[in-house]
Amino acid sequence: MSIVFWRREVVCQQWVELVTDYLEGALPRRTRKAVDRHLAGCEHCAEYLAQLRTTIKVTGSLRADDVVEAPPGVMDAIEALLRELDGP
Amino acid sequence: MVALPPDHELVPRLRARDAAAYRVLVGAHQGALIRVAQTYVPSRAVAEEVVQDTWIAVVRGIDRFEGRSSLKTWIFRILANQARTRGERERRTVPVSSLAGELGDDEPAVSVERFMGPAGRGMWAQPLERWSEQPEVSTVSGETVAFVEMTMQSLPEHQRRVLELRDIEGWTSHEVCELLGLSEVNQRVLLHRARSKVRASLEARREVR
Repeated sequence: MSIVFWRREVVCQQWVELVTDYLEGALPRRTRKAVDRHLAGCEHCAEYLAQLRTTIKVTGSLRADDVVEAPPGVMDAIEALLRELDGP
Repeated sequence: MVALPPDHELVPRLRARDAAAYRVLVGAHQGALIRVAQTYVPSRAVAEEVVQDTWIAVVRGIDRFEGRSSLKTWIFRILANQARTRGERERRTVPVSSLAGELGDDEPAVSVERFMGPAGRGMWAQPLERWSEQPEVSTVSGETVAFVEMTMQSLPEHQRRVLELRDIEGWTSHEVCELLGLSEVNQRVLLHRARSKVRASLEARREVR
């Protein structure tokens, strides 16, 4: 991210590289304020932020695949080992 | 998601070789372990084997768990070690992306042609399409989710792993840094690259429709 930061101003092309730091709360206070000023006046960059949030939401929905019950094969192996460790 | 008791209740039960406690633990983490393992190894089948080996190592090693990290982080660290070793063996002939390479990659989040004005100081050349007015992304259809899954497979492995843990499994940045041995800054760089690519792929998909 080879971007030169200007002191009081953030422009669109810089914003798209700052968005993650912004969402992570990792921007220095002055830069964050400059970003907020920019977002208040630039609907495209505000839309970019909305798109990133949608992207995060869609990615998060992949979690629905997660199993909720221990697969029998795994539990069989664990239980066999527990018995072995307990000894005869 | 199975409700998981706190570590201070669960660990003594695991040490007492309580199968029911293992059942709860496996139920809570199995899906995430497989997903994370898949970022190291080339197939779901191999990932399942790695996870099985991880559980065996957890049972054998629980007496040595010292509680310096959370139980979850400890388990995933065992997984990462097993999966890394297995991944290296499986992919000896396939080039693997290096962390340094992924961090050094200077590809912009949005292609430079999308901006007008001085390089690096540009404004949008065209207005962005409003996703909120087009329901297929904002309502998260099954098709969109499948598309994102496919996009994730194409991400370089370190970016994919960070995205997996942060945005799918909901880990904090601190937990991800601890597990993967990354600095906070590098973790954010990888997350940024990954999220930017997924956003760009969703946008490109909408344009071809």
